[in-house]
Amino acid sequence: MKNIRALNSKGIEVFNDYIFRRRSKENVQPPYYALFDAEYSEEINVSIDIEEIEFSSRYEIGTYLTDKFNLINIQPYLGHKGFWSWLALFWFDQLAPKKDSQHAPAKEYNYILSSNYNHRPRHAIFMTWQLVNQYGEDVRFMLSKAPSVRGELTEQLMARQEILSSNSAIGVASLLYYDTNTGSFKRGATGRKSAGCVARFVSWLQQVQRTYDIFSMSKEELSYLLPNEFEKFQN
Amino acid sequence: MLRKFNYTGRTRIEKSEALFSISAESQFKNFDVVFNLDIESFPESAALYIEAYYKETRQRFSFGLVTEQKPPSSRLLDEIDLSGDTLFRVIVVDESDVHGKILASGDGFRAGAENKGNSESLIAVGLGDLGSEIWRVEIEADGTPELCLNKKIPNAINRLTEDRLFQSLILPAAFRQILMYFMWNGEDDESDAKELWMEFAEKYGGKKPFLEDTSDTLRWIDEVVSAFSSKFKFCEHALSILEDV
Repeated sequence: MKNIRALNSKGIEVFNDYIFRRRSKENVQPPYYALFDAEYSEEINVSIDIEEIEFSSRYEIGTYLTDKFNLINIQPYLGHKGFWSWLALFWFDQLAPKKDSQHAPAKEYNYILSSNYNHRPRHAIFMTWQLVNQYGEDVRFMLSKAPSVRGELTEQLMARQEILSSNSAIGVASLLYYDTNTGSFKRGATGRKSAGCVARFVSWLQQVQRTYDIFSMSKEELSYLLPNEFEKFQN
Repeated sequence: MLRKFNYTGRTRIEKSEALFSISAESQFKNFDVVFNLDIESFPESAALYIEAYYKETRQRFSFGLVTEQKPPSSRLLDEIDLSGDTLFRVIVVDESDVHGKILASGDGFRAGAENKGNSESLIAVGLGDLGSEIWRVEIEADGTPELCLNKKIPNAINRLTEDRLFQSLILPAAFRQILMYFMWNGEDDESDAKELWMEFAEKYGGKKPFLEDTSDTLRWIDEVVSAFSSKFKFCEHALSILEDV
């Protein structure tokens, strides 16, 4: 058991520097020393214990953190860069893809929480927790792959900030794209332009939102408005 | 009051029609709002909502009907990220049908005390942890661009107003990025920020072209940035500084 801490600016700098150097193929190791060294990280105001668990999917990470954070007031940490970046470093070995048994990290904002509106939803831990905390089972299809796999579906859906806060939008996405047989998303969902794919769903939502208040709709009410092109995913 | 209409038939709620304030109690914040809506222009059954938001976090409050407002007893902002300025959206919804139709909405409202924008300032300038980048344009959730400078640079904000070389290397490029954002990412954007920036750009490049024609749009952006740079003589000032070094 370890107590969650928050990286300070020096901790974030060494983590960022490591990602940059590793992406440039330098032979460097993740700065795990920053996790518990007061020079690089600090205690937070609440005590939250976490374990070094092997997760099978991002969804599992989300449920694990939801259980932990339900016990505290998480609001002060919602946009806390050091807090979420610390968590990403703690589980970095699972979050970063590997190539030739070496970490091959994605862009830094997948691990270091960005304030940029485009990049913030890419954070591997913050976004995973937010989705599971708000929608539970409804987002399983988006987060069903291994923790190191960035979810293309998630990134497409989160490209519009307001979708994340719409129960009905996430609920309908789950109805459409969740394959209950595989526990993952349906084939064809991640297409870019094909009829009924997630990208088309996002642009349809943008149009609908201009006329309807989708936030007060149930997922059944919203799905009633779906055009025919989504039929193939409705079964 | 002059109202603006878009093709959805939805009316826009202006900043003067809802005045927000935020009070802080310990680590939590509460908000209040005073409405100055033209209630006669809405059906009696139209519902009134406020959404508080920051980035992707959002919290909705029901204020009853437009004609019979009932503020919720708790207006505690306890579900959104409070690490930045809270923004508000006001929505009037016709709920007489199964699918609530938006009759009017206004976005990007800020509490009076937090209002950092004003009529003379198009862009907020702030400091941030940008690693090795010198500057970056960040777009806030209400569509307002913010020019973020690397906090490692000494006196960075003053440099932007006083250092001609610094200005000439940043401002035209930042302006170009903002125009690109509004022309391509903000096609649904009806924000005040977009309107102000387009108005500002049209002073330099004339009427903006239709979005459908990418090459026209790119050419227009080039013209705007070129005319803007000429007006402030960025290259000339930079040259005179570099020649003195």
